[in-house]
Amino acid sequence: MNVRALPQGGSCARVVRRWLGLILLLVSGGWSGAQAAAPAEHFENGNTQLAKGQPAEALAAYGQIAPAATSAALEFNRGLAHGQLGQLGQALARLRRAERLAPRDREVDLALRQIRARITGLGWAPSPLGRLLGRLTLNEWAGLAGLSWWAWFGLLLVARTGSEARQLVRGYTVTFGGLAIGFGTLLGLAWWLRVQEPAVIVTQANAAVRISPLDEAKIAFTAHDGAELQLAEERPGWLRIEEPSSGRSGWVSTKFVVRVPVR
Amino acid sequence: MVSSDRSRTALAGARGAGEGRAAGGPVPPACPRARATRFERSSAPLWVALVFALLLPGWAQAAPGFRAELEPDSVGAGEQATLKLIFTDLGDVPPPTLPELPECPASFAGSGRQVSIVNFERSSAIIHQYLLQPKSTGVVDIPALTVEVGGQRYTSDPLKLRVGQGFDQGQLGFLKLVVPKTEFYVGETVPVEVRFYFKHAPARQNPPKLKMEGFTKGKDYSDHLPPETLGGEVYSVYRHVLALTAAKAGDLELGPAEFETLYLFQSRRRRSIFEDPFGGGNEQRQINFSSEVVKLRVSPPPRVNQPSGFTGAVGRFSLDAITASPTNVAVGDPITVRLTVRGRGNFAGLTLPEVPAGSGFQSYPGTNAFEETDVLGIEGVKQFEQVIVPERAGVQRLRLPPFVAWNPEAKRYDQLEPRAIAVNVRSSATAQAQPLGNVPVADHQLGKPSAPVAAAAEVMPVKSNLGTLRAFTPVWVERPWFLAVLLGPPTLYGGVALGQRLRQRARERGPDVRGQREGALAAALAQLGPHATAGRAPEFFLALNQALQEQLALTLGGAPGTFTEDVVAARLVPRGLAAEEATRLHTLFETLAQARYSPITSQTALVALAESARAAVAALRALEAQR
Repeated sequence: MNVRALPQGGSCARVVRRWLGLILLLVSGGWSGAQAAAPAEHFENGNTQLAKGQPAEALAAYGQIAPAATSAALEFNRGLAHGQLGQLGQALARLRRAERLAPRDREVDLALRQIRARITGLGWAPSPLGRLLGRLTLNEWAGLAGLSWWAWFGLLLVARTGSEARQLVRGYTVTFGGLAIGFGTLLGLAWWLRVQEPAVIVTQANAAVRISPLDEAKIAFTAHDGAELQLAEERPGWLRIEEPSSGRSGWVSTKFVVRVPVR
Repeated sequence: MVSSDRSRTALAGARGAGEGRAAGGPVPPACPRARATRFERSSAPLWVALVFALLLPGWAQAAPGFRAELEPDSVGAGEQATLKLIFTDLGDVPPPTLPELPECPASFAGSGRQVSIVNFERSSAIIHQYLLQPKSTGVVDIPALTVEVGGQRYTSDPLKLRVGQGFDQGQLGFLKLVVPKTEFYVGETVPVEVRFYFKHAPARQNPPKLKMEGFTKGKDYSDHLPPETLGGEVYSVYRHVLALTAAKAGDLELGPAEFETLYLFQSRRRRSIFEDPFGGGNEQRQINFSSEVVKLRVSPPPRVNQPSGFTGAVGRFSLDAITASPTNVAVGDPITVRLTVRGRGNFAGLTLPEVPAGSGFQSYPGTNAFEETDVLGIEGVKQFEQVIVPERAGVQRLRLPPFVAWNPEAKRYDQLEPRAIAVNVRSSATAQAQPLGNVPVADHQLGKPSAPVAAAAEVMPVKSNLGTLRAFTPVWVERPWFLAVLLGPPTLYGGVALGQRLRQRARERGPDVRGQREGALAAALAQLGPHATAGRAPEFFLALNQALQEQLALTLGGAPGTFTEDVVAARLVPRGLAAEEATRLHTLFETLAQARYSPITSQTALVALAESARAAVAALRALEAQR
């Protein structure tokens, strides 16, 4: 067998394809590695611009990070940059996203208070209960409720194996039953409060809120930049919102608002 | 920790001779009563005297007179005796002045009137009492006292008060002064303990008194500590804790602590029947305990390197929080600054430092509130509130001067420097609000007041760690899999429970049980014929009953022996049992019921019943097969 024989036509094509595949693999690996390093560089670049007092450039640098992915620090810094630019609604939206991701971050909390204090008009603020339950994310509450729920039923299953086992795990069963019910209740409460929170934030000064979802519709009232509104209904390009402080409602174009994910 | 030695008794001395005073022992020592008179030693003479008084009218009539009595006439060290001056039928005689008794100060203790009727003759006496407190052991001579009443002189007999050593007070307990250290600083507040170690609890007690010149007293409380074993003996411990603050410098003495107690002693004296008709009894004695003196050195906080803002605060403090609101104001608008200081020490000396002149702010007198976190008020939280007014526009740095406190433990001055607060000050109230908050800023960040907008980035620290990037995905509770996760455990549990139930039911209705019942039924049916032909009525009816019950159990389920006549109408007829067969079953049940009292014994009738039973069983089997 001649192992050094030149490849025939079909074999030659296979070899070329293999080499091409290998090259592509290496290139794509290097590209993906470069991509992996890019967010940190963009983030650092944005921070530098922010420190120099150039928030617009900072936002541009932050914007080069993959739009689908974010972090609490990124949202926080974006919020600061928007705040410097006077874009209070955008800043508030970013900070609330940061709060969703890091609910126990004191700086985020402080920044949120500051930005809300700057926004004119009757602002919305979370209730004490909402603030307390907001110390954990909904997923954390769900995890606690799920774990205690599984543990409870696991112990109930163990108890079915015999009277001795039932006696042995009785205390644990009661405890985890209480925990499961308690965490479940808190999860439900946190979820209900979160849904009640205003999820729509106005990002324009004097955004028109109309009586129907049409550009020609009469303006019901105007919402100020940074106003936090409750979402009542959604249609393409339009959101029906309600102002928590006054109870007024109307339709606002999605161009003038941003939404905060429930999370 | 420094403490005084075992206490000395308040009035110690040599024991007097011939007093017969006992001390010590597991029970409180009985009070010696050698003072008891012969007349008191037995009540019999008194009865005799009473009889004589009744039988000889006029013999016991009291004549006007004056006499002195000592009660008791012998005491231990630290004890008191009562001198009674008794004026009988002399009218209202004022209390006379006693002669000076150098070793035994006397104090007037009150007067009383005593009226007695002897043999229908009334006499009245005024008794003036004086408390005698002998200073030393030995014999106190009380001279004869002469008084003049109504122009007539009356003289009492001289008396002798014997003062012995008394009992060992240490057998009851001792007092100890516990001071955490011997060197203090002026203004330092420390807890001082007065501990009473006792083997026998007093009946009553007053809070300990502590001589504390140069100290000011704060709050105090009393409690009991766990018993301690000292010298092989177990003592209960009562503790009185005081917060003391050193008020002046120098070599000071703390103590002695004095503790007044009242003990009840069993009396050894046999009392007269009039004093105690049931004999025996207790007597109260006040016993004072005293502790050693503790020498302390109190120094002022050192003047070397003393910060200018020191106002006398001594302790260990920390600055908890500082806030200012609002932080976006116009020139002249008030800003409320709140500071919280917590720690341990003399909070009274902790005052809010004033904003220095030329800082761009003007301060006004503030308020403060102290919240104690311990019983003595040494630990706590002090909150200060002050109104400050900005004087010039721009982004201003509000930095309050530091709190200065002398830390006696670390022996250094602690300076609690409040964080700087950035305040955006507009030139007028109509200026546009700018983004700033009450956040700490570094000095270099606020070196040059620039446009307020730019200041926002400086005052809020930028996060430098990107963290993990992730997408905003729907929360778990919105996802179907979370519902599945929650439904999993009950589903699993229900499945297991159902499986167990089915297995149990299968065991109950398993082939073995059915086979056994089939066998029992066949055996019972087989016995019907022989018993009927042989005329054995009891055995026949027994077999008949078993056959019916077994077949009904097979047809309807359940256990044999539980079926009555009612099942015919209630369960069998609804299932399709023919009326003829139902009547047959009714008849068989009635025959079985009748057999308990008057069984059929006819052979022919029994054979017919056997046939009827077989027919009924066949009908039930047919009904079972239809199902």
